[in-house]
Amino acid sequence: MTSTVFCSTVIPTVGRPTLSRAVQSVLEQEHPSFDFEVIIVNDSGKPLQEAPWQHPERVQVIDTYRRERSIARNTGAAVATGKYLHFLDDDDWLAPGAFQHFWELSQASDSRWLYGMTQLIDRNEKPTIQLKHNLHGNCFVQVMAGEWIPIQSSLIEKSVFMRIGGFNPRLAGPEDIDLLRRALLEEDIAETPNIVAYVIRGEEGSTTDYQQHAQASRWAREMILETPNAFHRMRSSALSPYWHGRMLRIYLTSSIWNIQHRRLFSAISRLFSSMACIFTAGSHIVSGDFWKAVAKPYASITFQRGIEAANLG
Amino acid sequence: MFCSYIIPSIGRSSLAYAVKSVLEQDFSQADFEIIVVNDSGTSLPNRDWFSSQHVRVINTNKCERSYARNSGAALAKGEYLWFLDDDDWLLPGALESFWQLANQEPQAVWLYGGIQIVDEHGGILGEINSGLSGNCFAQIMGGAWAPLQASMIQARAFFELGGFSPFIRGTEDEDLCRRAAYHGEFANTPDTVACLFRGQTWNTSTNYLRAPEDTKFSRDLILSKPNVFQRLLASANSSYWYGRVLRVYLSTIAWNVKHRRLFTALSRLFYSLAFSVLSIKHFLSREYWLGVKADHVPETLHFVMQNYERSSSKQTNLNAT
Repeated sequence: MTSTVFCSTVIPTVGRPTLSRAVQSVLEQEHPSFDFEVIIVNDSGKPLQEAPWQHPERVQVIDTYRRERSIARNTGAAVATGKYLHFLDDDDWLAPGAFQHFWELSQASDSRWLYGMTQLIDRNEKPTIQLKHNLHGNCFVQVMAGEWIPIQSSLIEKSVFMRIGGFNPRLAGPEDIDLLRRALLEEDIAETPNIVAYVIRGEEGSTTDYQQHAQASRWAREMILETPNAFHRMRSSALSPYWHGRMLRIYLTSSIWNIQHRRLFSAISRLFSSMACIFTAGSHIVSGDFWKAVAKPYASITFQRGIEAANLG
Repeated sequence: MFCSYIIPSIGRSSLAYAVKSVLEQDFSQADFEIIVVNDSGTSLPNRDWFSSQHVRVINTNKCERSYARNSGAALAKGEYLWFLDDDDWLLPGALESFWQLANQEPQAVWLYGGIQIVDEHGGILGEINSGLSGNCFAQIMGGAWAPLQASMIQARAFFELGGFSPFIRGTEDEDLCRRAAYHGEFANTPDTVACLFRGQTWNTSTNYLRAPEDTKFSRDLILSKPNVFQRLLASANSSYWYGRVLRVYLSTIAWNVKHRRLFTALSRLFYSLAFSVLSIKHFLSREYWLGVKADHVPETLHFVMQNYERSSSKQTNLNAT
């Protein structure tokens, strides 16, 4: 390992008072086996209020000037010295022992995107559902279809983050899932079966622009489908009739999107790939699961599982 | 604040010269700042300019130059951004020239002036100013040069464009310039505003081995954007530039075929044909065919450097990391 710092946590902030909780939750990860640092990217345009956590040697504050969250995060990443990057928002926090779970996972796995379970929290800070993804290795088709692994519950190797170009500053909202997709186009993932982060999910009070979300997300997915390796990578992550069907649906919906945007040659290319999907699916096309996946928009399996578990509990 | 200067540095001693060339500008009409992005991985030796109220230093950890520049830009408070390298410097009066230009042409997203190429003895190898203004998308795509070191970029436009692309290495400055030309208008001052050092002792942190390929990749990404064809057509204002645009489309067909992107290649072929039909009236012009054939357009670094013997130039390029 070239870097002695195991992990750099980057926290962009607009100066919300919850920042202290986020920083404290990282500082409490202290463990004899590894070192870590916290980089707070203050994007509020004003100085941060004095707080006790600003003094420890582990914490560094950078002042960006009212930019997009992606730009703030990329700037924090450029400053980071850790082998892994961890992105937390100023209203989320880490679970005790999270870094230890990641440390153990990093010793056991070669994957360069590590993640754990997430406890979702509503705006009133009440726990809602838990996310346990059960995704390992190449999961490209799953994330292309719409599976979302929270960035707050993930550790990404810095070299991978830099190679794929970091967060796309032109995406407001879906930049997290876009990063995940671009990373998984090349990299495998590994999961630790422990809750590592508490993540607030709700539209009210969020800095995420959900209005723009859907449109930007489609555009970003198109850019990924343009890459030469996308088809093969998706193909090797589709291990059941259901995921073969999802893959076909991704290419079919992309054809329609391209026709709508008058990109005719791209639309033809996607139709061509759609035919290749059917051809490579082989005997799976007689399965009911295959056609179910083609016919319906994706609903996250992880969310469904979480909701069912919460209802039972 | 009017302008933020962003100087990424790998710790070269010439950094002090670059910083001082900004601090010594005789300019009091508006505020400006200098953001030094120290990407060397070690701390910079303390210098007198550290204490200047105009200067801030941020330490990034050996990233690509694009990340360093984008990080500096994220800190910037200026309405305009000016990216210098740590071996370039401003000429006296540069800031004043741009202040006037910005007031005359507030809509321009990219303001630029002339650049002087100098050797280590201070000898001037050449001066370049391509003098383009307004919509100059065809010219910039065709290879005209608006040097980054002699340019001031509207900050709002810079962020709308997404900043420097970390995927384009070696020619990321030209890539940004092409996207800016697609996005908005240029403004030019005849004044020479900056110096570019290209003497015998010049060395570079740029990976020029990747540059030709990344340049083609950059052009191809831009050609995929909506309404590119219309904007190229609107800005091709002479037979020469009509020829140049055709060359851009033709070369990207070859590039796409090479990368087995057949449908994209077909699309580019389609646009090449469309452009040929629209430029029929230029077919008899010698300028048109010159535009199609020439490897370099006038007023570029190539024509200054081709007469200058660099004793170790080949070595420097190959050893570049």
